[in-house]
Amino acid sequence: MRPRFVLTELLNGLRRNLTMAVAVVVTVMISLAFVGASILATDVANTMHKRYYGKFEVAIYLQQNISPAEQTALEQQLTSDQQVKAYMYIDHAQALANFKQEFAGTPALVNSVSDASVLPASLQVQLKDIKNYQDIVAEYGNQPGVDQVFDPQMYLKPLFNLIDGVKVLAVVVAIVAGAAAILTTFNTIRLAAFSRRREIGIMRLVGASNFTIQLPFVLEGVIAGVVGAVAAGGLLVLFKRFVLDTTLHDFFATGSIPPVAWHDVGGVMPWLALSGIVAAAIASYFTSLVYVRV
Amino acid sequence: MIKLENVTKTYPSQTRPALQDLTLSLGSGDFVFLVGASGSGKSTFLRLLLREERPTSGTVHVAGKNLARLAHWKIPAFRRQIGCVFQDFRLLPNKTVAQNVAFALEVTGSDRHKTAVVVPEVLDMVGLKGKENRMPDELSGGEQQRVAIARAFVNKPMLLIADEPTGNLDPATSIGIMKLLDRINRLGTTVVMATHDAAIVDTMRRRVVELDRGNLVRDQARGVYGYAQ
Ligand SMILES: Nc1ncnc2c1ncn2[C@@H]1O[C@H](COP(=O)(O)OP(=O)(O)O)[C@@H](O)[C@H]1O
Ligand SMILES: [Mg+2]
Repeated sequence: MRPRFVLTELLNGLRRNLTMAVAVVVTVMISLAFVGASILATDVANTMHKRYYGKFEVAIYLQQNISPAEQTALEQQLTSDQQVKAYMYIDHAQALANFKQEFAGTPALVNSVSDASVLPASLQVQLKDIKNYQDIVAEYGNQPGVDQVFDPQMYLKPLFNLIDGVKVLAVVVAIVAGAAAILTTFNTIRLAAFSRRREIGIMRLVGASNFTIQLPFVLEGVIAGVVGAVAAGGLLVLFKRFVLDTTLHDFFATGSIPPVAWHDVGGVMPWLALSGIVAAAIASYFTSLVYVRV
Repeated sequence: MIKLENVTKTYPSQTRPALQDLTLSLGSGDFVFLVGASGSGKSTFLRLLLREERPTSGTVHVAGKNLARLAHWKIPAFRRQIGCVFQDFRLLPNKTVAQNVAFALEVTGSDRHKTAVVVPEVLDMVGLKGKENRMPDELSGGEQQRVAIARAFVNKPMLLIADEPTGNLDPATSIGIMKLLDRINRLGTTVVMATHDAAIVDTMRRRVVELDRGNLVRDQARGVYGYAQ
């Protein structure tokens, strides 16, 4: 098979079916962009998980007027507690330092806290099994000197729900758009096979292999996959630049949800290209199989 | 070369068989006319040889191969040994004469060097020297059929199948095409040609196989088109 010959056939085919090729590229692009979005949402959820569930999972906030005896009693109880792996005392000054670090992105919020005593001291408790946090809440919630037991899960749940929602939505759109891309590919190849029926007929008569007959179709599919993937990457870049970094800037600036970094977007690109190429090649191989039957 | 034994072909939608209990052999290097009225089964016969159709019953052997046992993936290699010519030429309108002939080599994996050597040779042989860069619609019908013959012959097939190759041509042009097919036959290629051109069959005086509504009704060495009463 001569490469130059394949190339000419390919260009002829693309020229002949330009509108359909554009349709394939657009559906592939939309599908892959949402594949990318779902990967990014998963990344964000994982980062968030690491950040919040990293070390100390449950915080026991202490009352301002807790007595040293009460605090000692609490610490003794934690030391002997089978469910507790480790704990750490965070005083007012440390709490302020943590707060300033966490919300460094929003100076207004940081500046509003002038006095360290506004932030409660706490015992940060790491559990052997995070699933048992309810027991800790029940056990320590009403102890003397305890203000409240703060379960980060309660606070993070809506945020995780939000990210999960975005993820599910992105996956659903990716699947629907992927189905549309496959149907468009199918239709494009049907048209291409029809407009090439003379060539295909002659190829079969002179004994061209199925591989030779199918190659232009598969290559066209791969090109559509590559172009679609590049376009999807561009779409994600635009989305980051003009939606995440602009419209939603203030939302991420609160620091609750980790922002999507450029290298996250870049890391998604190879996966988009790979899935675009593989899916398009497989789809066009099997579709063209129907039309090259000897 | 070709051996058919009790071959019957009934198309799925039909009740009457297109070919009925045909037993026939053709030797290597033969030139055989397949004659009969329209619908008598000539094209069906040729498609069986190409393994484009499979018989409903009976066996077809071509070049020592039982076509019923030929694996699907071996069909392309099998067809490379056979050249085909049709009434409607089947040229690619957007390719030049030389490109049309080269197409048969390119899609079967010949290298560029071989193509560059063989294509002018074959075009010279069919009498199209100097017309390599014409488009098919710039050629007469006879010249277009010569291009088709060049394409069929460029792989040096052992069998040439021609389905009414002169059906669209005037008698004078047809004679030229027949001379060309005769020459190809003399180079050692077996030629099977379906036709209902009586004049051609009568002048060539080659073996004649006649079909009538799917039945073999005559097999005559050095025959003529109609029955000699
Ligand atoms: N693809 C097909 N499907 C159904 N019937 C067919 C098909 N091809 C040919 N036939 C029928 O088979 C018979 C023989 O046709 P054909 O072989 O084309 O004859 P010829 O070439 O001698 O004119 C005819 O009755 C025709 O209608
Ligand atoms: Mg016919």
